[in-house]
Amino acid sequence: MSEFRAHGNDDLERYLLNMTRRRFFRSAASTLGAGLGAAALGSLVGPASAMGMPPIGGPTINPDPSVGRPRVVPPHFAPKAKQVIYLHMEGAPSQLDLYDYKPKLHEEFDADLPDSVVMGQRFTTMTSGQARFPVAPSKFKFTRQRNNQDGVYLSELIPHTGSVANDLCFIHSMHTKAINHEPGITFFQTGHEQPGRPSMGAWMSYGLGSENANLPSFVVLITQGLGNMQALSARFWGSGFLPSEHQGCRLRAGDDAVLYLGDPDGVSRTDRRKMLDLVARLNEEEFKETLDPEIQARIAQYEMAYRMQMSVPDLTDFSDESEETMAMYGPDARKPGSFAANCLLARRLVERGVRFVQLYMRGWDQHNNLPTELAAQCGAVDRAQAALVTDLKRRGMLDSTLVLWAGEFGRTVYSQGTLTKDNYGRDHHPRCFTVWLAGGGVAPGITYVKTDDYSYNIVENPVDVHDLHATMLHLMGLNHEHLLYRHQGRDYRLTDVSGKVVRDILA
Amino acid sequence: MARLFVLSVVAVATCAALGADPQPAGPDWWRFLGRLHPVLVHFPIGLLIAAVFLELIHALFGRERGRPGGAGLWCVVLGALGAGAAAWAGWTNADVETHGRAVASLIETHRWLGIATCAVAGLVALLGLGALRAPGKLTGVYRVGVVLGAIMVGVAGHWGGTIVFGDGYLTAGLFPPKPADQTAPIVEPAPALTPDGRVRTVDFATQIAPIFEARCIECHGPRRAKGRLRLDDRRYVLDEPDEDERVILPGDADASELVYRITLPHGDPDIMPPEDGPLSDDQIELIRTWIDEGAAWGAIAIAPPTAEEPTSEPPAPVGEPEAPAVEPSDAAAEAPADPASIEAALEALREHGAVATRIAQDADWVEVRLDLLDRDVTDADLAMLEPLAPVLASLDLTGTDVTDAGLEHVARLAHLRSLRLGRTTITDAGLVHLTSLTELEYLNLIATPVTDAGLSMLTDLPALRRLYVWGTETTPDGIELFRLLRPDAQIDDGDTLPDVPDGG
Repeated sequence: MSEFRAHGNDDLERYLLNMTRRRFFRSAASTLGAGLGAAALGSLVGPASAMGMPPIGGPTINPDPSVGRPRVVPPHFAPKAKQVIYLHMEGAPSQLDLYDYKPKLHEEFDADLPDSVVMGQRFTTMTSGQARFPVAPSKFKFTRQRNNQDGVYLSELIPHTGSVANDLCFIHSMHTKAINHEPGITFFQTGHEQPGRPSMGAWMSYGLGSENANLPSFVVLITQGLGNMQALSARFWGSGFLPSEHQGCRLRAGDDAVLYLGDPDGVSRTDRRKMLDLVARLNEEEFKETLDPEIQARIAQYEMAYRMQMSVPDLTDFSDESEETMAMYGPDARKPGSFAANCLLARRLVERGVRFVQLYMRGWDQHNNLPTELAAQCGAVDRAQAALVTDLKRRGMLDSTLVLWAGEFGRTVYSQGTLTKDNYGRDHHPRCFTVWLAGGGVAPGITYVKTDDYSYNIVENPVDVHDLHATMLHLMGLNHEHLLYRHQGRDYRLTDVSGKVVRDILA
Repeated sequence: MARLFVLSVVAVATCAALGADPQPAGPDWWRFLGRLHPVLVHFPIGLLIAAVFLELIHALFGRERGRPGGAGLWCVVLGALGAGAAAWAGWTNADVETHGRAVASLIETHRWLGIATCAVAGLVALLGLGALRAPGKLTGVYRVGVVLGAIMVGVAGHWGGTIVFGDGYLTAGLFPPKPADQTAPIVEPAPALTPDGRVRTVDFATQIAPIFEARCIECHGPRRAKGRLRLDDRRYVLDEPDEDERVILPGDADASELVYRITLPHGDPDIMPPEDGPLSDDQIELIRTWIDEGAAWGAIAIAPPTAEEPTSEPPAPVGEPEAPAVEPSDAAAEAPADPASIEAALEALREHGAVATRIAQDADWVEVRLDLLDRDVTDADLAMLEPLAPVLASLDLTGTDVTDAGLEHVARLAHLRSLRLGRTTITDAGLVHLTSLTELEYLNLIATPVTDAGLSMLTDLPALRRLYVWGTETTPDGIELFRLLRPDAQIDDGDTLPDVPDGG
């Protein structure tokens, strides 16, 4: 029973939650000296939980941040995946030019998008003023790639990804609520369009803990894109109301993966240790007075930083990777901060037990000049992401690692701006887009499922962001309805009040 | 007053005589009238006890202290009539309602105490009426009788309360249970396998406990414990010291009293639960299966990593008896693991910085990662794993300094399903030890000096499904041979990306 975690996030809140009406009367009765009444009530209250049914909820913050010991929380049920690598494509890649093959559109080149397809839905203000909405078929050739169904057509822009199609599960029927990047990314990361909620990685860190005491459980890696980029804010990987030890830790490219992590000249590691011990003691005094869990998070983070002084240099040093591996990820793998280098780093993080690794690839916002910009973006990611899947697979890690590739929404079938055979742009499109998953208990080599002929509306089996979140938590052994955190008087979930596990894509 | 009393006695007696011949058809009036008993008992209790106080006040402050007080006497008379009515209703009630064996003896005591009370109250009432006319000694006897009647009604009432609320209900507040009794009910992790080596299919906590809670605990729980039976804690069921009192016989549903009771024909007076209809067939089948599987009073392990459904789903009814999912092995026939020693072994590993944890909150299987320790892990550390043998399902030794000899310890981990030995110096000589791992499904040997000879040994692992040998000394021929011999297992010798030109 000791592994079942009580509900609530800290001792104080648990104490307050425990102040039931009966306990209140009981303590009031004792105060009044009515000992008998108190005892009688007590015996009535006592056996109330005689069945001992376990409370279900997330873990509590460790009251004693035990130094150097991994803090793992067993999931609700046996998991398929233990770790996640989430490749977020900031800017929203065009599903029409990469994954969602619509050959019939070539017959309708430059035709007006029928109203029967648009059905009066909103456009962004970037295109709502356009005089007409000409259908822009993809300029790129699609080829059939083998998978576990009857094959999948993928764009010539991503030939390497095509070669691992047998390991990928494409969801064409993904949709979201947001139509702009900021709320779109926020929704994808936190399950809510408004800022302030914890990121998915923070939820998983909170729900499952960390297997490696020397690294954060949630790590963020960012690659600068080649195309039009939107701002990325740190709150996308924030912990919201969860204890801040669960927030994503961003590793920078270059010499200092974590700023100010190294000791200054003249400070030895022993001195650092002594200083941290003293600070921790002072902080613990403060915690005893205030019971503020953020103080414990702070103690834990100082300790983590100290341990990362040793673990991070080893992590980011690729010299132990074979030539063959480096070649597979491509020449970019030697450039710190490139998407290829970050994919390799992600594999190394997962090998070290990091729970949730999030890569951001920026620059997919092709409002115009889509063909050239998209080709450049794909050139930067295609080989590396295929190499990542292959590398995980041959190391026997893909079974337990869930890979997600997703942008925050899709792009329109109609051209933004001038449409020619060779050049066009596409605006934001939340009503359907494609993401793919690999490994971690997802059925490999399938597509799920249908959009209409314009990749504009979903015909079958829509999957919304909450459903995707619920499915990912499910694969990690967590029931999304029971992974709770009480904040401001109510229980919060990553999936808020919706989300259903997409069982059709489970292996 | 005297005439009224005699008339009433006659009326009650008539009713009682009628009650002896219940009519089978039509509305069940007898049951209805019988159930008035809990209402009627309040009259004699209140009135006879009030009579004591009223008579006391009259004896101290009254005007004619030598005679019985009028108010007290009214109370006694009405109380005696009420006692008669209550006794009659109670008698009817006891005959119509169904009860367990233990309650029956309580009812017997209560019945005769109640009737005695009724008789004493009637006698006292007559005494009082007599004393009105001939005060003197009779008044004293009457007053003693009033006190006696109050005591008797109290005692009889207490037995009645015991029938309804359970033994010790009244005094529970005065004598709180000792700390030992207040501890949480024992919910021990159940072994994942039944004593005869089959995988458990029924989970107590999610499938059986909810049935008990909904249908049994109200009467057979801490509050009432009807028939001195409690189903809220294994201490009163499986660990009941008196063997004859055990209603569940683990492994033998047909011989279990509990199953006998819940499977009686609808309408049988002994069927349980007596109210709101019998248990559904699905529920009965679940309970039967659970008992036949050893009646594990705790969560079952979900077999990793093939567990399909989270237990948060509604409990699924058990259909056809399934074929054993796991072949009975010697290890499975061992006594169930002692949870305390398991926990101690896990804690010892954690103190060394290892990841050592249950694979899920609803499972007892355990996984251990020794690959992430700050220090070198050697064969000596593997000895710490042996106490975990009954529950250890997953072990990660990637990149550690374990040797072929050290795998002897691993060979004793009979239930291991996943083993990672990548980037170690394990050779074919070490793999010999693994041949005893009959449940091993996943084996990772990447970047080890293992050769084709090692592969051929692994073809005997019956449960093996995934084998990773990228970066080993194996050859394509060896891989091909393995595939031929084991078409049911996937062997991965490490692909690289095919040479396709970059797109764009």
